[in-house]
Amino acid sequence: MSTAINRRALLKTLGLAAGVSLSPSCRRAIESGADLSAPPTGGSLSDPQLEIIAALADMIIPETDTPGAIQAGVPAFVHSVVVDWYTPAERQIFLDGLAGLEADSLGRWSVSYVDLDRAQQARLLAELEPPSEGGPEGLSLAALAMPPAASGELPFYLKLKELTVLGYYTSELAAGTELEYQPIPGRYDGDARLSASGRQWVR
Amino acid sequence: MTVTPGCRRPAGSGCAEVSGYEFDAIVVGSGISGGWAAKELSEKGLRTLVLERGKPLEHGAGYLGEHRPAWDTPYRGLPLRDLYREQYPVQSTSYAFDENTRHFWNNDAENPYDYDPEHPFEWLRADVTGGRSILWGRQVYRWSDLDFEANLTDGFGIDWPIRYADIEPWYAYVERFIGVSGQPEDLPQLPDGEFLEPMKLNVVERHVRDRIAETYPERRMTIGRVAVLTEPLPHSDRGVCHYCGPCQRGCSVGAYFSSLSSTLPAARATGNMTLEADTLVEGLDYDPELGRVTGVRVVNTRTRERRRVTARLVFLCASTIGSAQILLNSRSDAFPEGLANSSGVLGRYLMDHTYGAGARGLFAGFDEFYPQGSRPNGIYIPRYRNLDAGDSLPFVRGFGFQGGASRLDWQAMARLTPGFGPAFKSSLRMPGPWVMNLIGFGECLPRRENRMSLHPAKVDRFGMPLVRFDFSWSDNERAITGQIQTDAAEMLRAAGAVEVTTYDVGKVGGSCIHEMGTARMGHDPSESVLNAFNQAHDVPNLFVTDGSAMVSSSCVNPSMTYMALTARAADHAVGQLREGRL
Repeated sequence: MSTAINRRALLKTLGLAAGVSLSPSCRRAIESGADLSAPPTGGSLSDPQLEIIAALADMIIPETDTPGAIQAGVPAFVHSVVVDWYTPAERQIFLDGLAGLEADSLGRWSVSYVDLDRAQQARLLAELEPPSEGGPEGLSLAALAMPPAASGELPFYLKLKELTVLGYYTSELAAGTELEYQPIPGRYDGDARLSASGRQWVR
Repeated sequence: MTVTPGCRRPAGSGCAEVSGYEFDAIVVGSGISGGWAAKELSEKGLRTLVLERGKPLEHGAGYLGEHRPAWDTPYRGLPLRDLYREQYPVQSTSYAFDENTRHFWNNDAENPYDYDPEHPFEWLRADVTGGRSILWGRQVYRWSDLDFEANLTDGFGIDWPIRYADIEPWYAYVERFIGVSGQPEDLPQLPDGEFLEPMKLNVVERHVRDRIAETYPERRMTIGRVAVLTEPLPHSDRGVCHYCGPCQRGCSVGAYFSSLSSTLPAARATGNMTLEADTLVEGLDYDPELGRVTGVRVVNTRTRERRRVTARLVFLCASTIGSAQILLNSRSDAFPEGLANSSGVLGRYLMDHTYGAGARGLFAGFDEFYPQGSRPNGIYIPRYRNLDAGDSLPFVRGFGFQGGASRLDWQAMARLTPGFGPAFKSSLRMPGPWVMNLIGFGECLPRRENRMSLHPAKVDRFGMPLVRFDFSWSDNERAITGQIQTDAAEMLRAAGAVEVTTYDVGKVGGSCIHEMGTARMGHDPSESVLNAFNQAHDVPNLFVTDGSAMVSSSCVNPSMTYMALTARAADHAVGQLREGRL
């Protein structure tokens, strides 16, 4: 993400200019403080907030044999929802979640979340996962009757995951790579076989 | 009164050389019923004015959301909550309401209504030319004598003045014009029609159909009968379905029937139709000496200009609520309680179908199958309860099921799948398990206390009294809703479903968008508004042919019955006109 790259470049420049040697995380901590939970200013989240959103989106839908959330522009979508679509209460749940993750990271490893290795990032994120009510064997349809996690008082992790999934699977990039885009199928075949790729089609 | 030059209609059209009227007929509303009235009357040579409250909408060009991909949709389809809460609190409850269809719907803030807060009523309305025919579910079924004799048999409501034999030729006439795809089943409670090639049940639906038939021989699952073309029509240039899915966004090839794709073009082709959008009808003028409607009072909704138009004949097709509102607002010394309301039943006996209850379950063993294409149609299980007097059930009448089987998509699976990362992403790539849903549509009894009326004080932005609803379900509808869940679950289990769950989302009146019955037909003018030809008992040149005419609700989708009644009424009206009786 260009803002993250620009910011890293800027910090590097500032650090060199000041002639001090601080770990990247210390610099982040100094710059952002507890402000990962700060509301947007001027219609925008801060660079540290955007960096951690990007890191989290990349954890949830990474690049594999197909592009991941970063390439599909998910951080920008999450940003637009958090800034413009969320209610103030929902936004605060989300931003407090970011700040909580960052505080956890700094507390355990004295390193900002975005600078953890992937295993550490995954471990912190996994700890936010609510207890599972059933694996693939015990799939319960009851969850489908729940309201979308994107809205309301549902916790940060579910909001983050739902927004990342929505942003990714509705992107033009995912429609052409991870999924099969079929805007005009031209027929209905109720006995069609699942293709070798196994991909879902979307319109 | 404006006197227009002599009309140029063919001889025998019933139009006098100098009629003194601006038009031969005025049709109020351009939805399913109004479109049919416009087509039939103008094809029979009548100079016909169609008045539409909603905005103009052009077939094709007006379908702004058609084929719009998700990434071009605001917030990828997340609801615009502040806007919907402030301006569309009722309309946004519909499955068919989103940013790809919002421009078709009524703005609740601009066009409010009133209801008993203890018993909310959802009045879902279009605000465009073509009305709800743009947004409808397209399911079309013939009613049977099980329906037309229901009131007489069990005593709830008055008897229908018609039977299946009276409407049967008109069902066929409508089916030939609109195009109905469906499967003949030879069931007396759901008569077959003149069908185009049926759409196909998918592999799981056929499995469920066969297992249900083994366990419950009287329960027949068939493919939905739907006004969507599966093959070309000889008389029409409408295209066949390309299975893109969300018909309610509009279909520029005209694969599904709507006023815009079908009836209004036919009416326009005669050269006899004039259509005015943005034109609200306030009321009808009644001349007590002539005993007839002599004018229609209208407001231009953009300029607020008021005027009066005249015709020999008026067809009210403004919807069950809209038509009754206009009549109730047409008070005179002769009809102080509303035009054609000497019976006092106008606005009463309001009905809707019960909706929002059913069951769903998972099916294993079909993982190698994955249907291709979005079929704009589902399954139908016609009524099987209370077909014989011998059934001992805690309710009268019955219900049918709609629904279907499909595989859960990424959105559903993401909510059901824990974790994140490569394994999570990989697990969402394939479609999820098969789910079959059965949702019940239950008959609603006609009850005097269920009504719409005019608010005594509140008026809308045009000075029109607000509609007020007093509607609640009775024990009979509640018992039906319970049986729907029991039966849906037991059929799914009999078919081998696992994780079967019943649901009842507690839908209120109106939410099925099958409102009916505010100006019912009947033999006796003291207890009905309309006669057997949808003609007002009190006012011979006034016809009401939308859902307000319905005497009972059946459990079967009503739209095709409105179309057939409209065509039949138009034939009757023009016959009377030619005989000099109107």
